[in-house]
Amino acid sequence: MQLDFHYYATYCAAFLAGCSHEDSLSIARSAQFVDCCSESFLQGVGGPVSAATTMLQLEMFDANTDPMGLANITRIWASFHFLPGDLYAERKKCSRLYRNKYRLICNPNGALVKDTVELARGRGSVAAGVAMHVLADTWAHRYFAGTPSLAINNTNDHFYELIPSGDGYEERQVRFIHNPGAPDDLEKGVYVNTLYQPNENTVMNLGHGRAGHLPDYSFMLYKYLPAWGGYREILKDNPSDYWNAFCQMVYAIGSLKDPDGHFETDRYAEDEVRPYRDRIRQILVRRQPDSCADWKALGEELSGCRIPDFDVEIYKKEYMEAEKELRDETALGQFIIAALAQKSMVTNRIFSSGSLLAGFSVELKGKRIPGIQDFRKLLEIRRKNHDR
Amino acid sequence: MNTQPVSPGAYTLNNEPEEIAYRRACSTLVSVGWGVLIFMVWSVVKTLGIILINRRQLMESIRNGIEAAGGGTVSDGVIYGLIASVLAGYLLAVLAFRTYISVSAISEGRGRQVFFLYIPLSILYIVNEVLTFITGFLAFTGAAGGEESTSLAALLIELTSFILLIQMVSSARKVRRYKKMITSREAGHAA
Repeated sequence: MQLDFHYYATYCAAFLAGCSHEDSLSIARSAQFVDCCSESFLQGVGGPVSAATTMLQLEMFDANTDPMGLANITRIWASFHFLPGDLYAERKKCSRLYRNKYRLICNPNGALVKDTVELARGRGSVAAGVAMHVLADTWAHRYFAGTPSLAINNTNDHFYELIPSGDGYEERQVRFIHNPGAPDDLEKGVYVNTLYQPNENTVMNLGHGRAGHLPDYSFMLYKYLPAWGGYREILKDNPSDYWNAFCQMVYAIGSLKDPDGHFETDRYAEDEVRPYRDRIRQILVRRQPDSCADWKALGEELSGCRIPDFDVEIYKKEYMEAEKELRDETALGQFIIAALAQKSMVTNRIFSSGSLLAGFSVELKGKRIPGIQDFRKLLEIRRKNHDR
Repeated sequence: MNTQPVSPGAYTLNNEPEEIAYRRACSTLVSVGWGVLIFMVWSVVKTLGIILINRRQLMESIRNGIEAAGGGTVSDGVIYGLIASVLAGYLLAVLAFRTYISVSAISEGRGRQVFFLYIPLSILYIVNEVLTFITGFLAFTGAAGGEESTSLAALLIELTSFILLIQMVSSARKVRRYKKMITSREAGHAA
């Protein structure tokens, strides 16, 4: 998903869930910021690099793919962009390593989505925004894993776009090119993807890199053979998945407004969104590389307020100008805490499932252990709260 | 339960068992096609190595042959030229042959139409590989009476090359069989 859905559509979802314009904007900003908060950005503002929620292209090329490096990559991508659907999925006749990677395949409505939303409960709009990014991506990025893996994430020539034509669909074979500087050609069906690398652990095989940006376009409908699928075709119906994501976000934000409420998977606020179904459907199926203008217009119509363009500098300026001890109170400070909590929760769940792909994790709450880097900030906050 | 889909209509995926088997066979055919192409490098290196190591004996036997045939004395340059031209011809033929069968296999695996001849030619090549392997094995064990001139590594490479070719022919046959089944099923549906 891109700026259009993570920022503007999230704003619409928050407003439909009953949030004010300001709260909706805060949720939307935080949701989009997940795609901006890299290690380089955090170094620039003097924040903890372990709170990174994404990796820039240059950081990816520079990333180590030794076990420690892979764990760092997996922590970031599995926690925020490819939330595993079932950490206890079984697969016959495979190695333990393969099974562990197979379990990281992203899918919506898994136990971790519930944990993600519940983690944001009572922690304010910024934490809610982080949770909405993760929730929305479980729909867009389903069938891919947030860890480098040729055996899971690879695709082949059997990749067809389904273009609505009359009552049915016209199949068009997707042509992939590997020039990262070239734009996708929607008319001719030429898309940019990562280069085929036979090495299992190269970053080229991370997430949906081998399928290009196709999972990020809301209008896209395609079928392909996922490497893990045993030569069975899989249909990816983005318009329906994005619609589900939107309805689930409205339900999730609505549930977060109640401090004692609870989020259930497989529930959608379809009734609340129904009056806008046709309008949203039109936006989702329109063949365009980005739907920012359409979502923005809908959001402004809904709230009657102007939605400013997304700007990273707002977060940055406030954080850098704040006194050091007050930084945690700023939007970026809250984002960092929410990101660390999400990352440590997912890492802990993956570790508890018997996999070391995201690294080692121990439950430090209540234990007198200094903590590892990922948890230091969280521990400090816990101690502060305890002292109070 | 998910919400009502917003996509214009339903689409049925084709995951019939023979379709899955066909895709699997195609994938294997493409992989082994690349394998055969890569092993071509080994054939070239091996031939050049044999010629290089045995160049003195080879030159001597060519010179003796020419003299015995009444051709008189010939210079080293002429013999070198003769070896080079025969070698170039041989290598070109091997390269063309292997490239043809491997590229055909890759093309068929990718669903393109290819000339059927590549399968009989592959079988011919398998026979050649069997003979090469037996000769190598006899040389390795010393049963041929000569010196032990073939290493175990070389023997294993020959064996791998042989297995690749067998796998290629087997996959090509599977691809055709499943394709036939799919075509007849589709024709049945159309009727």
